[in-house]
Amino acid sequence: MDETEDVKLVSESRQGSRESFERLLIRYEKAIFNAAYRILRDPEDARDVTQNVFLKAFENLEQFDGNRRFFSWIYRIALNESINLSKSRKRFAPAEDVGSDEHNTPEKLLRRTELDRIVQAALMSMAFEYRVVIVLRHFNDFDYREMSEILEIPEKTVKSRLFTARELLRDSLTQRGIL
Amino acid sequence: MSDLHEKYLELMHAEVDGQASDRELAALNEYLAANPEAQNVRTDLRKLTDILNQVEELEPPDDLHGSIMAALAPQPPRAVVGIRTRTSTTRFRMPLIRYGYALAAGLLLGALLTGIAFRSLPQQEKSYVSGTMTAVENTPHYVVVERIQLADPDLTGSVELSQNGNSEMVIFDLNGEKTVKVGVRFDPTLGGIKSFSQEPNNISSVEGREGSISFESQGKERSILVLAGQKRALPLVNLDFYVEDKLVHQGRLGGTRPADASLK
Repeated sequence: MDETEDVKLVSESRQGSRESFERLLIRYEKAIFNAAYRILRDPEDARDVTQNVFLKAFENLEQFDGNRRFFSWIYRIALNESINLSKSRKRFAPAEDVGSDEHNTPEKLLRRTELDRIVQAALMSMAFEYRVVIVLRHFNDFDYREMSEILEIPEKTVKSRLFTARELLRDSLTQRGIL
Repeated sequence: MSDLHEKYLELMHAEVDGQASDRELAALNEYLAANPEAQNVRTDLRKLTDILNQVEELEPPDDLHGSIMAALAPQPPRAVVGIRTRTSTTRFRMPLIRYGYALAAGLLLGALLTGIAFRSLPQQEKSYVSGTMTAVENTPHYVVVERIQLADPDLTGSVELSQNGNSEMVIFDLNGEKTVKVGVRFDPTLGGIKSFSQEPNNISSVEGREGSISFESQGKERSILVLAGQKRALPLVNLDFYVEDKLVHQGRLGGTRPADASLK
């Protein structure tokens, strides 16, 4: 992702350019939606999170620290939104059986392969902090340093969390007959 | 696990993450050659990475982009209320009922059979209202499907309904010397409030509940309401306009209606 372009678009958006903000939306919408979906599993929740992320970003552009990279800021908002939604889900809706979530997909909006479904189920069996590092590393392709920025934790912690997450995921996929 | 093995385990992870230097890779290969059991760990790690790489990226819903842009506050950035979410902090609660197709079909059929479009008011209060079923591009991603013109001594302007996927956007361009109170009602099982914004004035006196929202409009003002419905069952939107607590207009927009179902 071209960070120079981000800086330019953020600056223009701050001056009131909706066109520039829309270009930021185009750059990050799909990635944020996918991250939210992998973290939360429900496409409707992912949609809600994605929408809230960009509306909050738009509302708070003035507070954005220009020394920080835009992607780390917007992903941080996405994680916070996902955490909030995840907490509310825990409170109001008991965890579903990992293999029986197809009815949650409205009108087959998002078709999933069997592999996708199994991987997603394995992800959902992991604690939030481990799920997030897998998502950021493998689905959003961030490196350790970028993950450290987004998660606001030291790189060393990112690595150890990622290693543990992979062990958990490997065990879970093994149990599901994938590995 | 020995410190030595721990060190090379870290290198194996760095390798699959593309973050190991050539020198580190050479050291790792040398270690693995001398420790065949460690080779299995590396193989498992690579298999895991391969599986994750096979998972396909998803496309966001078609209407998401348009919904976000429609919900943005007018320039300069300012508060938008009622963003659709299902967290406890949401101002508007919007339970999207996912299995309401049968109910939706019933309502739509009822609307078609009875031809309801505009409820009669006492003659002295009724104002001129006309409806259209044009297909004019309004904003990107939204298509205008219906428009009401308002012509009353105390209130003029238009109400326009656009649709994009499972979202409906209602734009109220109202103009009146007196404060107009607008009530919007819809079937909460078929949709919910996604966002509401006003320009040029700040949002004032807005109240949202499941299945309804009311707000005030002063002078020449644009109010934008976005509702989330279902692809097969967009909610009908009932409108009430009050000036000084007197009902001056009442109308209905949206849903799937025949092309000749103009407002009466």
